[in-house]
Amino acid sequence: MDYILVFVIIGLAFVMVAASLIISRILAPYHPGGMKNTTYESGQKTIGPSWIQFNVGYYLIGLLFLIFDVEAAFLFPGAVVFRSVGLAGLIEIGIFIFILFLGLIYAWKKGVINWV
Amino acid sequence: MLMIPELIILVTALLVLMAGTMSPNSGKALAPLSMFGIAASFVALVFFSPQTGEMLGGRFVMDPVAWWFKILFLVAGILTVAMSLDMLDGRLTKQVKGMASGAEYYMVLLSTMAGMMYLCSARDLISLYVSLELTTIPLFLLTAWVRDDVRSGEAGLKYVIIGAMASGIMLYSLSLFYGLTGSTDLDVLRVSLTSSPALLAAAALLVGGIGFKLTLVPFHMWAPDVYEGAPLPITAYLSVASKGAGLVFLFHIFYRVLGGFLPDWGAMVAILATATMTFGNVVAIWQKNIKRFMAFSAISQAGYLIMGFLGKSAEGVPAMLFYLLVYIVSNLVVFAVIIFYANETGREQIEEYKGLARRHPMLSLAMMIGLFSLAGIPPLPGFVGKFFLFSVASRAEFHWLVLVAAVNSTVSLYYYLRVVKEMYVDPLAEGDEKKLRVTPVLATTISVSAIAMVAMGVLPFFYEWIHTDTIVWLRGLGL
Amino acid sequence: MQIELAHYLLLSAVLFGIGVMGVLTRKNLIVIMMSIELMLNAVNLTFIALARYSANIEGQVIVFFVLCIAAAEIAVGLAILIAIWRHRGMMSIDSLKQLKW
Repeated sequence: MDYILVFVIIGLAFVMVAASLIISRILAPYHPGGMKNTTYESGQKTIGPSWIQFNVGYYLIGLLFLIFDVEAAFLFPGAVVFRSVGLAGLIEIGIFIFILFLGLIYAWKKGVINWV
Repeated sequence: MLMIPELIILVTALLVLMAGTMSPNSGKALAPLSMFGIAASFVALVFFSPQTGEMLGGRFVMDPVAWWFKILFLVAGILTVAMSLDMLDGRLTKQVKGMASGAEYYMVLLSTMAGMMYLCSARDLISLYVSLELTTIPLFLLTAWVRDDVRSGEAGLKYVIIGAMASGIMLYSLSLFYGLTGSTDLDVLRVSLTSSPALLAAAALLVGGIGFKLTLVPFHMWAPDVYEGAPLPITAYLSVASKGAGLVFLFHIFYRVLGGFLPDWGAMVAILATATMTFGNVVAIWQKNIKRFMAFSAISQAGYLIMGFLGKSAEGVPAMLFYLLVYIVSNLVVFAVIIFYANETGREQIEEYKGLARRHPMLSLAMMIGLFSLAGIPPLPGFVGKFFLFSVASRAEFHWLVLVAAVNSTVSLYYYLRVVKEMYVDPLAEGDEKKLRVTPVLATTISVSAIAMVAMGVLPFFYEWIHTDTIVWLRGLGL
Repeated sequence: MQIELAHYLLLSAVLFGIGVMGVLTRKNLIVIMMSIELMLNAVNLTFIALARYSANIEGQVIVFFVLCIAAAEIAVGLAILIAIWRHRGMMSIDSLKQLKW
């Protein structure tokens, strides 16, 4: 008896996905061609095609950025409770940053930061 | 003191990375350094770490089962490092191009080990999830390690996609568990969960997600490809370690959280076990590549392993632990010989093992014992381990499953014997008369683990150890 | 209409379903990675909604970790993807034929 509910939910999930696909097919306006085929570059005319090979350096720098971006997300909660966790908390945060710093040194040594 | 073994592993990982980065000449010292770190962690775990206790407000808990699982993972880790040496030092017949330096390799390997050890001690949905990912993500990297080998990259990519999807599904089920109880603490979950359709859905999603890691049929399809494409030491590690991690996770969820509901779900576990071992065995018969062959063999072994979850009995856990230990050692012995042969000759097909016994009798003997142990021939430990697992199933009144499993081990004997026949019965191929030489490290690894394996089968106290260590604590859980 | 917990759960279930469908049916590897990201974010939505309605902070804490792990997962996946792309110059899953699927 309990299982019927599960099957109903599974069925509903399928119906929802199918319905959203079908509704978007029916409702969405369809006007191909024209300016739509051009690359969007904040309103500017593009210079050359965008399907070129980008320097892999972009990817590596982006990755480094990502790491320190996420790191900041972990630092904020620490900052909020800074007064109550005291010195132990400070040391823990220090260890966390130190490990990431080792990662930065590694990337540095491998020449990721040098822009070619 | 509780977390010292994990911390040693993590510090070693960072040390290895920094040493490799700072001085390019340190290549030779990295493997000994990592092995020393693992050994130190082992010593710390055995001699200085108590078997029960908790830290960080109960987020990090040590209990006898976790302790034993950690021992198993450390054993698997040190054997894997020893087996990787030849590959990383370039002692290969077929040169592998695009192999990144050893420092990153050991660093990544050590971090997945740390992840698995944290997984054993996690008592919280958050730490459970984070440590499972710490285990899995480095494995993606290790699978794709040989950058210029298309097969390795492809295996890595398939593993990433399947692995990430599986962990997403698993995370969804964790969110349902959290929603049902409003807590992430496993012990709170245990007391506050009540039977409901949502709980069933959560458990089903969880088994799906972990099924991928444990290669349970029908979630096994990535395994043969990933095992074939990955570098051989990593295949060996994957076959034992990622399985172990999945088992730990299931143990936490099944025994700690869902202990009260487990008996009702025996039929589900039994069906999964039947499907897994039967499928693995039947498909293994047709394999030609030894890596794929071992992949399907590993799938069928996972089927035997989860029999330990049958019934509401504490006996299942020591049986599972013992079989996992036996499986790790036996499988790694077999893989060590496969690695040796592939390094020397670059061969990976089963029929190319023709006459190996004449080229290196000792190694063939080790491989034969390992295969027989996997097949479960007495007096080897594989038989003992299977015996305990089967008795768990029969105590839980799943007599048909015992029958199926017994038939399956007979079938598995057939295909393991195929490899033995190639090695011992078939004549040497033309131009293969040259004797093969094995490097000292690999020779030591193989002989030590082969002797340990035989000892585990013959001497009864290994199982007794695990049993006496864990059973009191497990009974305390109310099993 | 009052927006309640059930609505959030339904939304995240649908998002999760779309993610799974994307992983299973799409051919482009980048799109598959995005679908995985969608799955994880759907789960994040579940956690946050549940945390809000059960007045329990732990659900929000887990979202931090999921975000971080999703980043790591995608970074590793894209790195492997780039390594393959250098060999094949293809981003379609059909090009992964070296090993039998």
